[in-house]
Amino acid sequence: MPLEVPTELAHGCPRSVGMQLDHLMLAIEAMNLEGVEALLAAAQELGLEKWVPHRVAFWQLRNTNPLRKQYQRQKLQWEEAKALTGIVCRVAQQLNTAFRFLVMTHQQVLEGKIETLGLQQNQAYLDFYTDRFRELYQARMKNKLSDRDSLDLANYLLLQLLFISGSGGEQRLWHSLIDGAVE
Amino acid sequence: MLQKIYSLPNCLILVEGLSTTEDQKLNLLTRFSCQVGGVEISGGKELLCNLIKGISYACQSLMAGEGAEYEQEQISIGTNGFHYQLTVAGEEGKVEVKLDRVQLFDLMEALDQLCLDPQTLPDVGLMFPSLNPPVSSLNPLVPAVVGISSVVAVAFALWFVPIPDKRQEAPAPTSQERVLPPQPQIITDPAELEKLRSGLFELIDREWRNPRTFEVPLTYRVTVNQAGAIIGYKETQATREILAEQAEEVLKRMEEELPLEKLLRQNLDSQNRSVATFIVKFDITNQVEVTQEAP
Repeated sequence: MPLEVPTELAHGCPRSVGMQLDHLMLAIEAMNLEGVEALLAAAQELGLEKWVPHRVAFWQLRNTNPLRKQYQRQKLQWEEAKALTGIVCRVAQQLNTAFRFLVMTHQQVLEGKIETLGLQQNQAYLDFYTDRFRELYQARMKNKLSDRDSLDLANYLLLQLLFISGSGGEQRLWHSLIDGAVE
Repeated sequence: MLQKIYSLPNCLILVEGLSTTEDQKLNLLTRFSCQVGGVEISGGKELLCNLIKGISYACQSLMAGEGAEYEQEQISIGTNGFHYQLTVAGEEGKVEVKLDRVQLFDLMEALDQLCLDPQTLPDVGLMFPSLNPPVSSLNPLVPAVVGISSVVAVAFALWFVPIPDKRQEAPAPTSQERVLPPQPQIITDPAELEKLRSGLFELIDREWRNPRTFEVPLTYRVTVNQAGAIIGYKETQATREILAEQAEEVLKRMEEELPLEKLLRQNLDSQNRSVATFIVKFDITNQVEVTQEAP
């Protein structure tokens, strides 16, 4: 099913789209040390070399996120946004089991069940992810997030990644990017 | 009779129906059942479609950082602590179930697989009911997510000249009002308006040279006099909302960043016999856009 650009946004891809996609990729990197390799491999598997021919081009696309230290003023093109959406969802599908586990663990943390159920080991995995996310975010973004905000953002992205890791993930992510678009 | 099963760790959907076509696609649903969270939801096609719509809405809403609240045709979804309360009022009675996030995902995924299966109900596809109200760019998550906190803001500078309200005719001065300068006329001549509009664009475009620090477009109503000089400006409602929660130093920085105040100051003594108001948009592409105010 093709990803459609609504007519009211035909003039250009809002900046929030590049930002959200980059954040999701950052969360993937925080989960998996080989995250960038997985994303680049997904671009090849999906035949998207035209949009992501090499590592540098990929990096440039990600730098359309206005929060990046290396922010590039040019906007993401719609076709590039579609390519990144496909790539993110492909890797998210591969990581579905990990997302289920981490989202479940986060839910248990919220409900205060970790101690009772003796799941401290599971929480260590979640902490590893959120810590690494905070480090990556601080290293790459120009705005400063408090530890609390960073934790919330990391867990929020985890939830998003779970919900786009299914069969309709690409459409779901696409609608989500467009529904919440901010120029 | 055809049967299809969509199975996930926390959810099992069984679809039964008939095929009236040669390709043996299940295009006539007789009954579906969905086991999730320890209960069974079952019914016909109407209920299935409503369930698909409701769950899709709740999941998109959740992804947008909002709650999952939904209440329409047979389906109601609410948030209950860190769980989601799904209530289904089907033909076979009312079913209530509490789902955690992963269970909700599994339910969504099983329904998505059904929707995307070309062999089952080809007329039922993924549904994306638009989020209503639309995701606010100001919801609490957004400063973290959209980065508005790093953003911006501005000159609340209409101190001197109020922007005339177009809808009001300039009233004839009464005796008490004679001390006030006469109300300026609103310019309506299209040719003159266009000239002023392009003049204003030139003026701002030439003057706006500072590096941009804001991340959302800012719009202002800007009033110019017959000579094309800026005599007043005020941020639009949308921009005001974005700027409302900014710290004072950000507002100050914005006053310096945008050229409006500077251009206004040069004109404090000018005579304003007639005026026109335009909408000026400072875009994050570093473009200025000047348009006539909609009547």
